[in-house]
Amino acid sequence: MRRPARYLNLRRPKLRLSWNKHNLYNIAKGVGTVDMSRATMRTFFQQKWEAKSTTRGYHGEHIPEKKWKRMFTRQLASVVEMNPRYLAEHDGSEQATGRGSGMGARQVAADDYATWFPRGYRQDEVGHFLSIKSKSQITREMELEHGNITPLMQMTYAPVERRLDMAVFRSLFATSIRQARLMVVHGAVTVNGKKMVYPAYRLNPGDMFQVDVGKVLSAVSKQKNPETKLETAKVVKMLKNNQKLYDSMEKRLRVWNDQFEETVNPKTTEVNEDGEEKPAFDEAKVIKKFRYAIYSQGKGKEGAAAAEAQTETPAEGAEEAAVEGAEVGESAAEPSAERLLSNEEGQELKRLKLETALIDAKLLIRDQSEKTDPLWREFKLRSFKDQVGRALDIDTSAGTSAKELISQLETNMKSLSMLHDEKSQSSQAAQAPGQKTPRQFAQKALWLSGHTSDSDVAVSVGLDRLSVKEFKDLARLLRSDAENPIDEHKPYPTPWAPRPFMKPFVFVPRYLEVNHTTCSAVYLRHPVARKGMGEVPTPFNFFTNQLAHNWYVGRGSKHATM
Amino acid sequence: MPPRVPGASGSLASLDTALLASSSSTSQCARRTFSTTPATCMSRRRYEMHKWLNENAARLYDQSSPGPRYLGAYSDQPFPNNSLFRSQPVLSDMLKEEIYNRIVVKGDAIKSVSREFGVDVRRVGAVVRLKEVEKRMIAEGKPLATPYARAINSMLPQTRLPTPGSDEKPIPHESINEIPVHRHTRRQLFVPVSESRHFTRADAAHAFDENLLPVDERSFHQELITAERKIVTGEQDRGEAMKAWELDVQATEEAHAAKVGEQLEKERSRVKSYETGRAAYRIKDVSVDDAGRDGKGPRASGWRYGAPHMDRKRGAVKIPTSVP
Repeated sequence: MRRPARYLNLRRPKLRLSWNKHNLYNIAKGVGTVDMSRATMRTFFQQKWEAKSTTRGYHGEHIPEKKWKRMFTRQLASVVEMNPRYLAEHDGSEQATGRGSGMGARQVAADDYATWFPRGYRQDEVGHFLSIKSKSQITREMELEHGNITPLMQMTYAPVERRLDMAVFRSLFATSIRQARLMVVHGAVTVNGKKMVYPAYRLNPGDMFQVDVGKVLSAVSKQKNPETKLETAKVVKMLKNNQKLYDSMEKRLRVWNDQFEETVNPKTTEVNEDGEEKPAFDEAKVIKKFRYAIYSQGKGKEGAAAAEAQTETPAEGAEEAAVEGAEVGESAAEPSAERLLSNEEGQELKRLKLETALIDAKLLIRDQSEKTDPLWREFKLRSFKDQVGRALDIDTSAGTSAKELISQLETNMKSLSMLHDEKSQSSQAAQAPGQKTPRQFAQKALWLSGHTSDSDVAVSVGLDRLSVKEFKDLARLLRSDAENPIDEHKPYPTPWAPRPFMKPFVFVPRYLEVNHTTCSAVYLRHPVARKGMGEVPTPFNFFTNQLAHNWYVGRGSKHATM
Repeated sequence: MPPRVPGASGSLASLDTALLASSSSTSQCARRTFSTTPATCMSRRRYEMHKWLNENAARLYDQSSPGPRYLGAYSDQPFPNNSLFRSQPVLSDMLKEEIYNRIVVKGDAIKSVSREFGVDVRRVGAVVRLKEVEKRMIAEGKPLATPYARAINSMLPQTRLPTPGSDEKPIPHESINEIPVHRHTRRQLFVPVSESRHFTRADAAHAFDENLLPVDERSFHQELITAERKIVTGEQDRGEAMKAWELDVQATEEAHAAKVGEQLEKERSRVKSYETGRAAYRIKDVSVDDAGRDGKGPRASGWRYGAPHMDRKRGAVKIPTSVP
């Protein structure tokens, strides 16, 4: 049925099957309360009509009245707890003594053996009801009375709860009944493993239904609003930057090895007392030069002209670098552009790529105290995953399993000896004279990605290799991220977060057994009433439901059963 | 065309009315008569709603704080108007895992697990089915709604497993022996019997309907009632009786499982299956006599000329009533 105009409104409100905040406000305000003290002022018909109208606005307002009438039944289901001990100790004859209703005033009943809540009203509640001023005395007293009965009238709308769309909503897979209905109609719901497109399918006890996980996640998440669009743009920009960096890495390496290796890494390095290599050059300047060299090489012959133009820029540092860069570029750019990488250089490139990727990972592991913003961490992890994918030539979009990624990373890092193993420290000292130390590799990766040693990133990342423990931390991070990754293609903002204002609506009635991890549930049995409790989740009190039931008793189907 | 600015003629008067309207219930702010942009006025009700949401809802129903939080004063009553509906705890994931392990890995009887954790036998079955689905999905590498499940579980009341290694007894989740009130017993019935007659539950059931079974026989836990009876008569003490009961239900369920297995095997042997590259042919023996004398028997296999197709009939409800 078409959604009525002013579905959720504040002027003439009706309660709806929805987690909308308007609805939350309306429930909190006490919409739909029938005050029994007003009963004397209205005819019975008026009272019934009002009750039916209010309750139908909530219970299956999407079902046409005619169809609901066909579903309605006056057979209301209830259960009684029969403790096995009671059944063993008594054969029921004690109930039939005397004139057929037990001998004395105090006789044994199954109720005395009940292990299970609720046994009438809780004490605190009595106080609560008496403290409410707005309710009339009559309503209050009548409600207290009803705490000890089996509230069959609350079961009036039990047949609606049997519908598939209703069960989907009650299992917390959708935020409103209309959304649940749409999920079914769009084929996202299976019953006992078979696709079921009829929202009016009436579940039988034991039926298992399952909703598509993606649909549920997008339904129950926060909305993707313009602000989160910005987030997506940020991710896309980050991915693009990564791509640019990794695409140009080969070229960068070539330029660096040809022109800067000697200035930066002379055969004999100075070593201070802490065992750290001391850069014996102006590092910022070299990197600036290096950047310029790449820039001008990319432009080819036009690069020189661009360099000349750049010498006229007012910025002093840039000017200097540009001049020096132009000098180097003119001499070396042409031949190195065509040079192929040697085998060793290819290996070095792979290692440098991984090393660059590890910058983000190290930021996460070593820099946790400074920035604990979960979104920042997710973002860095996403960037790391992307870079690892580029370094190792594997697909690391959100679908890949964390396990596979970790195992790939581990084998590669072991073969490139990028893990710091405490046991084999001695072998590290005995290294071939021409080979780079791991710290030099890390330094080079930092330079190639455009950081100087005194930049924030370089300081917090450091030059140490990852220890085995740190690698384990990284694996743990990746595993937990795999559960809730940043994925810009999803229809909901990532990482997934629950929809606001949903908490007051979160409950699962007992006739359903739900597994939220797989978005599947079993309809165990029909809802029932038991002492002091009706299982149909209705926001209306006993009297409203009773009046509604009375409305349909004469009008509903004569033969329908639950 | 440039936006038209209302002339000076009506301005004073309309300003006056606007000011008057601002005190009424529908509009909160005075409209500027010289403005051409629509006024972003909020009605009083909307204003109050947002005020309430900002002041209460955002603080009270903060999703990051664990545990349920409902409207009203109670921790388990989602609807402030309806004290007869309670949000009852759900099984925690650890408890579900334990139930699955007990039934599937350890091979315990459903009824003994049901009694130990205080979980309805139907729910025990459902938990096992759902866990099986979960494990299959993990094995197939299908995406799971883990962040969603974590969020929901933090907002729901839960029945938890006692800490392993401790002597704590599991808290019962629900009543395990709830008997539905039978349709025949809802009416009031007067049965005159002599005062000396020992009129029991079984007699009462018979009085309501000839075929109605007494409560003891309609229970899922019949064996438990029998065991309790043995304790009451002094035939066995509690320890003995419960041990015997465990063995009894274990044997019963194993016998049932064997019977079901046999039936399945029988079904399978009736079908001959041939796998080709493209399809699997399943061939079953049928009886020609099923078609009946007129050849329209509903149980016969194949399409029968002249037999009406009910699935295209107008007015008939096409929604299936059950999914096998």
